[in-house]
Amino acid sequence: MALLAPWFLLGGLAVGLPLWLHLLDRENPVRLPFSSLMFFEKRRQSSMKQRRFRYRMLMAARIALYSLLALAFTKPVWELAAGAGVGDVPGLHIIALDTSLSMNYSDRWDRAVAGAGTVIDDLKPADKAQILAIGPGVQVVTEPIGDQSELRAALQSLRPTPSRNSYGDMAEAVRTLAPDADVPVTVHLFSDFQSSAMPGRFSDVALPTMATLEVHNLAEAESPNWTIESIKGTTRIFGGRNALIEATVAGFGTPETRKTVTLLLNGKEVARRSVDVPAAGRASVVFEGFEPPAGNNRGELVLEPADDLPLDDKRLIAIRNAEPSTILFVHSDARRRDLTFFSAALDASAQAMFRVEGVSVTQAEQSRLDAYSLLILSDVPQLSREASTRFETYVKAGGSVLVVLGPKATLAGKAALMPEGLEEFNYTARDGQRFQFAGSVDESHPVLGQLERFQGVKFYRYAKLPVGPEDDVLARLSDGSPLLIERPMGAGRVLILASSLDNIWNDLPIHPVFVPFVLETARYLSGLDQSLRQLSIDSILELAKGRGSGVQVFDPHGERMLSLADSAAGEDLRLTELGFYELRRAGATELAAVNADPRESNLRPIEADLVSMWEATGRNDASEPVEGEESLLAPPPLKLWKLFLLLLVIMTLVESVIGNYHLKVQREV
Amino acid sequence: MATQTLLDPKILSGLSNIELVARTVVDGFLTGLHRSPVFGFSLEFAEYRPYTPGDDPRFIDWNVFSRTDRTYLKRYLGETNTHLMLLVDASASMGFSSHDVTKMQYARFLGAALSYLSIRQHDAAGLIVFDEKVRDYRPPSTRSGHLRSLLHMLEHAEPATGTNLDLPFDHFRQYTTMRGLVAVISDFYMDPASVVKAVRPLAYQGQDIVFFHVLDPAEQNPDFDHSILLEDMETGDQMEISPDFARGEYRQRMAAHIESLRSEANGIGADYVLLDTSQPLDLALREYLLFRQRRR
Repeated sequence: MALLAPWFLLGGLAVGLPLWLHLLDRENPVRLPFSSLMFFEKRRQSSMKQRRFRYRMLMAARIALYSLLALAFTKPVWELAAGAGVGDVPGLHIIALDTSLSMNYSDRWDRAVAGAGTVIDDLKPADKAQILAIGPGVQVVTEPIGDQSELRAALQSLRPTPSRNSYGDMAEAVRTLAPDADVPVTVHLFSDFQSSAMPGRFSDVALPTMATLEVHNLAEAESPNWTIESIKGTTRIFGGRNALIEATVAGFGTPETRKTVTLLLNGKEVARRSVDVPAAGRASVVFEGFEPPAGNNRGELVLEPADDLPLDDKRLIAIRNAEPSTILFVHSDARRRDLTFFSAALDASAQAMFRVEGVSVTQAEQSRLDAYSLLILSDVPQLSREASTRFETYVKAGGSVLVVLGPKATLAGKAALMPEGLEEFNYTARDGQRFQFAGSVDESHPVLGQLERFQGVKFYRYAKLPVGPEDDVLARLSDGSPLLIERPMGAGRVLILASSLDNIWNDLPIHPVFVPFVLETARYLSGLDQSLRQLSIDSILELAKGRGSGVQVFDPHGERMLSLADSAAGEDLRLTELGFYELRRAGATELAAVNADPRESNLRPIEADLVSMWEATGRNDASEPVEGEESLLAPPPLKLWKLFLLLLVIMTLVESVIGNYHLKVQREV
Repeated sequence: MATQTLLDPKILSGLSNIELVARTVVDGFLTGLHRSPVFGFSLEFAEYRPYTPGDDPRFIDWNVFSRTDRTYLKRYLGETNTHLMLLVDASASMGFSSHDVTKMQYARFLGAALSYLSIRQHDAAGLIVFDEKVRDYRPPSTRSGHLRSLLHMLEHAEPATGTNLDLPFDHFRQYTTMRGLVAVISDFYMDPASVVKAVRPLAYQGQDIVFFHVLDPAEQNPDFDHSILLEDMETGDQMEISPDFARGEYRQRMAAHIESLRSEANGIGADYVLLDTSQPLDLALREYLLFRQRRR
């Protein structure tokens, strides 16, 4: 037995306290000779003896209580005999199976299951085993159990996934599970020990001292693998333009070879290209001059001939061929050039995803707003009451509006969709400064990320925008006045620009940043977010950020993934399967292609030295003792503090019971 | 000094000579009786009977002899010849006292007074001092000097060990065949049934028995303020007693014991007199005389 913190034994001096108190409180009755005790019943005498006995029991219980408390704090351990060896004491065997995509290579998975089955067969009667699936993350498949049939059933239920894995996650799980076991832990890791699964810091894979890592390396001596590593190109096509797709074919540990890449759209072959892939190198193949059908298209690039890891020989791409979105540009004065500048900026985009329809205020009041993906109110002081209501309804239902202020609005002191009115406008050309620059700009916002902080743009006049509690000021002028505000309105949003879109109040339209500003603003407000189209496995689909509510997601098998309540709540979804996910919103359907992580395709294993170092982080194998560390051979010492704490609790209860009885007797006799 | 005061045990305990105690008690008691119409006991004439050889010639009525030339003895009521056997308990428990007079002293006074009274009436008086065994024995006698012998025995009777009634009664039965009075002075810390069992052979023998049950006031009505450790004076056993028990259940048990003794005594035709050591001795003497009168 060893006491790890013997200083706490000083706490044992506290046992003197109850002893002293009991001696202090000890009854010392007056002794008196009496004729006879024949009328004092024996039962009373017995109760007196019992009382005295309980009194001493109470004192003993209190002394034991303090002693146990002091002992528990010393963290005593019971050193088991070193000669006993690990095999003589029960142990926990953590069977960790790599379930990442790379385990689909050749017969790796079958060998992993067979090896894990052998470990289960070799379990001793007192041993327990626990199965973990590594990738994605760590899944605890079973609790520590000794039932071999249950373990085998759990093992057979496992399948490799298309996800990545991380040995750092596994080590973290072992660090969490091992201390709870209180027995020697052996981690049987069945994996291909893919280099890409190692975390950046080696310390992240370190095992606790009570755990032994037993490596079951399933990697072959050579494991060449080709994959379509990436796809670039136009995934949104507007106005019947031709699509362009460039695919990168990569080979890992491969000889030079010729591969064929086939493009399929909606299951039909569109084009086929041959490509010479250099040894352990990359090659590009381009598909152009084809026009996808209108709507959402499921594209596939297939690498042939297939290799031992077929899952990464195919890459998916969602292509949308749609009519350009129409933007309703409402202007108050046809002579102004704001519409001209705006339209020209959108036309400058190669994708031509928007078409602008310029109307006057009167025409706009009679327009059907549902047909437009975005409204722009350029210097519109007010709308009729009916039109104003329709505009608000449009926005609250999920639509978007860009409100641009100008001379008319500022002169009227109000603007459409701004019920709070305008405070004033500022004409800096009359001031000493002559103009303002953009000051603070939120570059994390999708609209402003590429604008280089409106560098060089001069703002001569601007309206003083009132900032509401829910407003988000995206950009300010150098005097601190808000330049661009985002305001939520129902399910939609409103952007308010404090200056005009022509070159009268500022020179923004004649600066290069005007084009990306207009394009990103239109793209942001219309909800055309390209990032959704191509996703990696295990990505999180943030449904709450989508326009409107009532999103429904269909998995690659066409099954609904959300209940009605989940659909309304807009919960985030993890995409765990390869394939096309379909997002259906009111009036719009989007397609997202989920592909494997390309890092899984690189099967290069971890260097042997690194694996050895990893094994050395835990406890060494009993058959290979480390000099001077005999304890490694022995089972870990039994920690007795838990036992002492249990006894402490029991002793506390005993003390309470005896104390209660003791007081009770004192009252009655 | 009032007669009653003379009979007070506290006063008597101040007298060094037990004979003086006996005289004081009996004379004072009899003085009281002369004024009392209750008992009617005095030197009243009872009868004449012819002189027979062996009778004490001092009791011949010479007036009758002068008139009739016959010798007659004049007899008085309290003068019928009998003998009194005193059995005095000298066990350790008799040494208990909660005030100035121990039960042993009270028993000495009572024994001395009864001996004196008996011999003063020409009755033979004997004495057995016992505890677990018979410690001392004097057979009944009316000889001169016998009283002093008895008083000497009483004076030197000290509380010693336990109590055993069987031995003194057996002893008494072996050496006495005449019927007479048997007065047992004890605190009777024993089972009433065993007392009666020991006494019953004497009752069958025709002895008239009276139990003088001597108790200290603290034995009848103990009153403690707090828990107390009592030590048995005979056995040495110790027991912790709570005030509640002493005030409640003990008194009930003592009363039951007294009542049981009284009942058992009556069952064999014996008299039972409960004596409190704080009370004067006249009650005991009065009971004795009543008892003697009933026996005649």
